Amino acid sequence: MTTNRRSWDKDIAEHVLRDAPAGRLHARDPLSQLLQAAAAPASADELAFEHEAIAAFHLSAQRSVTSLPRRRSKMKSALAKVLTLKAIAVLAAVSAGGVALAASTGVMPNPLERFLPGAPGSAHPTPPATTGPGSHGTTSPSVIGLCRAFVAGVGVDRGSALEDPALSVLITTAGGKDKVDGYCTEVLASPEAGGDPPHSTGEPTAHPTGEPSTHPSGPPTHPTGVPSTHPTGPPTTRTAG
Amino acid sequence: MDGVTRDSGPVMTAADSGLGDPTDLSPALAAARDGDEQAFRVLYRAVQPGILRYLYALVGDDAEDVASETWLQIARDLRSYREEGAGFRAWAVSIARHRAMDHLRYHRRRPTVAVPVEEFIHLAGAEGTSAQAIDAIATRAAIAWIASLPREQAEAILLRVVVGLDAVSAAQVLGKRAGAVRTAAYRGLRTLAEQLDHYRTNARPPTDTRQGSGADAPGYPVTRKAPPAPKDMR
Repeated sequence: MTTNRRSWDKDIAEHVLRDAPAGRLHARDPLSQLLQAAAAPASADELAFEHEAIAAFHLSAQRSVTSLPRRRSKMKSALAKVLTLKAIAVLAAVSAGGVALAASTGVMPNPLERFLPGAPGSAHPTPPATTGPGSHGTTSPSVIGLCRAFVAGVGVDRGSALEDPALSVLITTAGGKDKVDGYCTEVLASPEAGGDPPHSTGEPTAHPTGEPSTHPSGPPTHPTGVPSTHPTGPPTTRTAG
Repeated sequence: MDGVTRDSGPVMTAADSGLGDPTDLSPALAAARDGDEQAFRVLYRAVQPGILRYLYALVGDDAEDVASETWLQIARDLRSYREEGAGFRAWAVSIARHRAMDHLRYHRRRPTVAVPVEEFIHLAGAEGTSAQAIDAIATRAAIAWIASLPREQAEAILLRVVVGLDAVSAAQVLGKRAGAVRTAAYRGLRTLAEQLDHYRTNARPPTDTRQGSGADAPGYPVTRKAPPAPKDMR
C-alpha cells in the first residue's frame, strides 16, 4: 500500500482525468497505466464498421427522411429505393476500394490528413481488415453494408435492384442473383454483422425492434441538449417496422 | 508510463495524443454536414473508438452492435445537429448512451464483459512495457476493469478518459451535475488505485466494490467478474 491512498484527492483525480485522453499521462503507477491503456489509440478492429457508417452517411444524404437503413423504410417510390440502393452500393463498394472487395485483404489509404492538424499522416493507415468476403466464414464489413443496404433499401423491388450493376459485387459474392436474399440473411445473422435477430437489419418480423409498445421512448432525434439518464427526451421519430 | 510511445497500431492519432484527444472536430463536422465523406470519416475515426469502449462498459459484448446503431443514427441526424454546448463528441456519445439504454431495456439481460483482466496486470507489470504491449487486449482489459466499478463511476471515468469529454460535458451526457460526476470519477479512480495496489501487494482479488456487496445491483449491466489474481505483477 505504498501509493495513491493518501495522495488521491479530487485535484489529482481531475488532473489524471484531463491528461489521460490527451496522452499526457506519464506516471508509472498502475492506475495511470490502466487509464493509459484504456485511452490507447484506436485499433483497426475498433473501426470495422467504417464502411457501413460511410454508406449510411451517404444514404442519409440521399434522403433526408428520418429512417435508418437498418429499418425497413416506407419509401413512397420504388424507384427512389432503387436509386438510393444504387448510391449506397456504389459508395460502399468505393469505400471498400472496389476491387478490394473481392480480394482477400484490402488496405485503404488514409484520407484524413487534411483534417488532422498535426497528425503525422498516420504511419499506420490501417483500415478495418477485410478477409475473404467470398467465404461465408468471414464476411467483409463492406458486404455486410451492401446487405444492409439491400435489405433495408430495396423493399418490394428487389428484382429491379438486382439488375443494378452496383450490386454486382454482392451478387458475385452471394453466388447468383437468386441467392442474394438468402446470403444476406445469413450474413446479417452472422456474428460479424452483430447477428442478433433483433438487429437483423430491417427485418421487423421476428422482433419488433421499432414497436412503440416495447420501446416507449426511442432515441431522441436531436439529443443535442442535456440527455437524461433515459431517453425520455424529445419525441421520437423512429419509424416503426 | 514512459514506455508508452504508442507508435504501434494507432490509426489516426497525432504524435502526442491519445484516444480522446480533444482535437477540434468543428471543421470536419462542418464539412461532413455539407456532405463531405472524408470529413465524416474523420469524425468516425475520432469518436468511434471511444464510443465503443464506453459501450463495452454499458452493454458488454453487444457494444459493437450498439455502436453500429449509433453511427447509423449519427449519419441520419448529422445535418440537423447544431453544434453547441458540449460539442460533437458529447452529442455522439449521448446517442450511444441512449442506444445502450434501449438495448438493455430490450434485452433485459446483463451482458458480460469477457475480457482477460489478468492480461492487463501481466502486461502492465511486465518489464519494459512497450507500445506493443499496450495493445488491444490491454485496452479491453483496462476497460473491463473500469467497468467493474459501480456504473455511475465507470461512466464518469470513461466519458472523461476514453471519450475525452470534460467534466461539464460528461455531466451533460449523464444528466447530472458536474460536481456529482467529478465525485463519481474521483471515487472510481480511488477504488481502482486501491484495487491495483491490493493486487500488487497481495495478489488476491479485491472485495467487490459494487453496491450490494457483489450482488447484481439492479440496472448494473456488466456482470462482475472478479479479476483473477495476476500472474505476475512485476
